Amino acid sequence: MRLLLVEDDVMVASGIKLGLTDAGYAVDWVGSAERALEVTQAETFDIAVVDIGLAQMDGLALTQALRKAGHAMPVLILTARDALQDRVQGLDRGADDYMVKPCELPELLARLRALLRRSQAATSAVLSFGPLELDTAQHRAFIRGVHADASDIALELGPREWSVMEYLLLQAPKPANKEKLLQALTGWDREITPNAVEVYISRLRSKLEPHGLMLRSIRGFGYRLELAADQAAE
Amino acid sequence: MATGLQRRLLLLLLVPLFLVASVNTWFDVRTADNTTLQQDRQLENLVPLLADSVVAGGTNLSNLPLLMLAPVIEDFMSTRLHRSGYALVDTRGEVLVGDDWLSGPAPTGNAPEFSTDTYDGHSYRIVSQRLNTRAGELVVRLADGSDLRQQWLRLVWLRAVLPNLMVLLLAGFAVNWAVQRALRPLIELKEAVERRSPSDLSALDVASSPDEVRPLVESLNRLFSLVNAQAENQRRFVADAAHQLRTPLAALQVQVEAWAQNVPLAHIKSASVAIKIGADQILRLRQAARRTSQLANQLLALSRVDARSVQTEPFQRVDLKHLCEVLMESYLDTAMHRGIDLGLDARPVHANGLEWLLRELITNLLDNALKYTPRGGHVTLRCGLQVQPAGVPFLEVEDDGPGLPPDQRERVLERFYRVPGSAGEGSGLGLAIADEIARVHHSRLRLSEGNGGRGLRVSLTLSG
Repeated sequence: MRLLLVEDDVMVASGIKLGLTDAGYAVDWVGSAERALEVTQAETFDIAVVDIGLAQMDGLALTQALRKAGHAMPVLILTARDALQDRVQGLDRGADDYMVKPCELPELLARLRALLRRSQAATSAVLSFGPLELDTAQHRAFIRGVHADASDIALELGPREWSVMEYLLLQAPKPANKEKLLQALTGWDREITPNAVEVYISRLRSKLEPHGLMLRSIRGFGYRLELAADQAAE
Repeated sequence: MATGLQRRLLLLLLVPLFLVASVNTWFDVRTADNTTLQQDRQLENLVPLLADSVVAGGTNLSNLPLLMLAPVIEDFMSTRLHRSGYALVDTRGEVLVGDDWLSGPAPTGNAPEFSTDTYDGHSYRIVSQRLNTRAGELVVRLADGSDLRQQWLRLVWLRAVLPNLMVLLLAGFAVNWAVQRALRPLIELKEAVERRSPSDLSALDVASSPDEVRPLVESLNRLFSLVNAQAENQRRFVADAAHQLRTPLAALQVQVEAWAQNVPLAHIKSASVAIKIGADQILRLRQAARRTSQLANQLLALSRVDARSVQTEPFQRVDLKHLCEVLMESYLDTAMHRGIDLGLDARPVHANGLEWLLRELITNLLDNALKYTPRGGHVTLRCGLQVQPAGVPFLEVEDDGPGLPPDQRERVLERFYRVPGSAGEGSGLGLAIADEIARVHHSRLRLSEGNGGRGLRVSLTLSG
């Protein structure tokens, strides 16, 4: 994944670059918005991390300029403080997410993954999370083989199970709000009840757990698709 | 301020005084005019008597009228001494009998005519009238040199205008003196305040100020003590903050210093000598860095809540449920890493407030609960409408951790206060910030036991 980092503080930039490079991103770092506009003319990036407080043109203006120039890559804005105004403005001007500096690396990585998954979903028919893949064009779900030679394992999902799975996968690694999940389902099935959702969730659980995937219940909120390996690592 | 007040007082006192004096003078001058009228009437009354004094004779130079002055006329003449005169004049204006200087054209009608003339350096009031006498038709003239009018005018100046002017002048001085004297405490107060250095905010002396100024001095003193307290708070806060920042920064520095020690060696002995960093060192370093960051953020948050601009920022309608959902979500990972079950119990509810502050408040409450709740515990974020009193929006974070003894519940709201013997890396600012934000929303944090007498419940009500 090619990542464009726009940050004028050398210390912060080198830290973020190190962390992201270790996580497998190909990081191109520029120190100013003007330079960022130059490099995006020649090259394409999968995602951009932009600091809001740049010397001349600021991060918000850069985001706007990028969108104007037709770049659709997800943009994550870094703000110095949790300023609501920044957040609202940032999201208004075309940023996809924002984070408060100094940020903790694991959270930054999680946000980037989520943004990338969303942008993939917009362009490709295949959604993935860990070994799980959902081909939305052919309505097929399968678990990718762990080894290169191993074959994929198909998952049999009923139509409603499929919808629940698709919704959860679109949200991951963020939790899916149960109410919104319900709303998404009632679009084509008016008779669905909260209890029914729980039934589908428990069916999905039993199908996913053998493959290292788990559905965590979040009290009062909803469900979250997680990799069991993540938990083991903690 | 004092000069303006002084000018106003002087103006307000002197202008009416001047008006009164003017009216008084005007009346006096009017009296003088009345005196002239009286003089004319007297002369008018005397003219027929003078005509009656003609006892025989003719009306021309060859046949002069014969005059026997009536006693009244004689009286008139004698009281005026030389300052009087009379004449009988023929219709052509020639003086037949009497003072020659009283010649002049005869009046055309029969009515008495008055004039003022100067003779021998004296002003005379002269009446002349065409009258039929025993000698025939003659013009009778009578001159009065006593000139009561001028006398009266002089008198008016002397007796009315001058005294009025004097009184006015004296009153002006008196008023000016009185005003200055009356305002002196105010002016002295002004100077006393002006002389002060910005750091000297001790109270002004109340006892020495007059009763009228005392409330002003007292409110000034109140303001001084408020500003003093605030400045003192600020000073203490900065000191505490610096102290708190020093601990994690020192930890950071010690770690990095140790590695930097090896850097020159690494250069000399080529790159093959790697600097060794233990895994636990790195984790400690990260923890120190995170603590420093969090503390800096909290200090910034506090200064923003303290800022005066917050008091005037207009409240918005905040969707508490949405806010709780977003924030709970952002803390899920933290909770999971600590093995705590973080849950939400959010009912749809809106409140009036500042969203960015309420966000900070919930963040601090969650942060605090997750920090002190042991592994396996539960933390629940709630929002909704209260049952008692009904319809009031509330926010609440409840945990089933160790809780707080009642005597500590007030104290944990103080800045930098940490419960004695408590574990964790808290700075003692989280709840202080939350409480400060509650105050901005005209509320306070309420600390109580959680469900079943376990853990801690922190809640606050908001306005709907």
